Amino acid sequence: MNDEQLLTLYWYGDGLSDSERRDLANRLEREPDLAARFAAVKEDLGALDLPAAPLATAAMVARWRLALDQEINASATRSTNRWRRFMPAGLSAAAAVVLALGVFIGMQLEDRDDSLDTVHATVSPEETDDPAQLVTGSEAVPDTLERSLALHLQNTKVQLAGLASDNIDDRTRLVAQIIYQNRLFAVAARANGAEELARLLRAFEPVLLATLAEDASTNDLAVRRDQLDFELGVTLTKITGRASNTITAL
Amino acid sequence: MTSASHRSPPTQQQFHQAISSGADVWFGACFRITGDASLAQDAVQDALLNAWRKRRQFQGTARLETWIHRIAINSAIAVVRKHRPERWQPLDEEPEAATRSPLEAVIDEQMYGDLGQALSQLSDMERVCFVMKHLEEFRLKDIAVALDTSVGPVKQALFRALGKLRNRMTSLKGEV
Repeated sequence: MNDEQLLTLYWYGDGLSDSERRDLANRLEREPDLAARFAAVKEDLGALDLPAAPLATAAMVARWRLALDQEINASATRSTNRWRRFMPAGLSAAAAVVLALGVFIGMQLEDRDDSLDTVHATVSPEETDDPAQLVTGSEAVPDTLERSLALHLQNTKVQLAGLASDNIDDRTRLVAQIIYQNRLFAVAARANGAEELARLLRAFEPVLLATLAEDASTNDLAVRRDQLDFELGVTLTKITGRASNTITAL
Repeated sequence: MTSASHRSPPTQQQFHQAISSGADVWFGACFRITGDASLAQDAVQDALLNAWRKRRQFQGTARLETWIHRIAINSAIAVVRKHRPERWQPLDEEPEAATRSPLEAVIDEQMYGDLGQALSQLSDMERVCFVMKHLEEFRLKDIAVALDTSVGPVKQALFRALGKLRNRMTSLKGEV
């Protein structure tokens, strides 16, 4: 490697070993000619700016936005189709698991009522149509059910991307699937005396059904989806927060 | 509750916001690497789709636009390799300058002026190494990884590119 190349790499601060860098620094101190050449290299490379690159045109940006939206819709549809393929067996199994879980937890709580004191952070329930406002923490919802519900709500948040689909059939299938699963959890909640939680799950239904309005514009759908996403997030936070506030005294 | 590992992936809306603020920079970087507006458009689009598919890997330590920018650089390299394999020569050989059709040359000159002319003097390898080092400020070893080679050939391509550009840019300045 010649001096010109060494000086170039020295200017970039990259590509020289520690010993090479030290040696070059020492030489620059001792050799005025080399120092002058380095000054010239610095000036030359520092001034080596290419003219500004071209800007993206509006047509390019529109093409990228469209491609992104198409990819998102396609992936949501793929996800929905995957669910649909396994729906009969999957939903039957889910229903059986949720109901069995509910019965089992109900029996466990009945047995343990006298030996456990479960204290929850108490918040007064409010009468409201806002699903997120319905989780108040005043009910003794079993932790296992809360965890399963939290998982379901997280999955639902992911599935919301499918509501951006222009295809009303795809949206209908997705909404029906979410409502069906909500109802399964509502049954399990009611079996455990958690009426408030059951009501919360049913309260999502009108918001979900609103996304199926035939005259809904893309903007309307986005607003509904954001509303659902927000309320699911708030509900999740409250459920997980309540679980962590639960104190079980033996 | 929110840590980097549990951060929510960026949303569709955040991606659209990133396009609004990052599109010019991504396209400029991809154009400099590919030397071709059409390939640069493809590279940006590939980068966006890849970024969306990998959005759960976004750690949130940098801005979303910056993360997509890095992906766009790699997409641009992949696009060049895919579309012009014959011009992707071994780095230790002296490659011929990029050959363009007369129509491409006229379009470049009309649309991109000095930049198009200057970059057209470089081979694909020289242009990629120069852009990644001098403009994008990658480490030499990172460039080598991206190009699936070692640091030595990257240095050689960079020195060749610098030599050509310094002469070319000086002469361009003289023309004005």
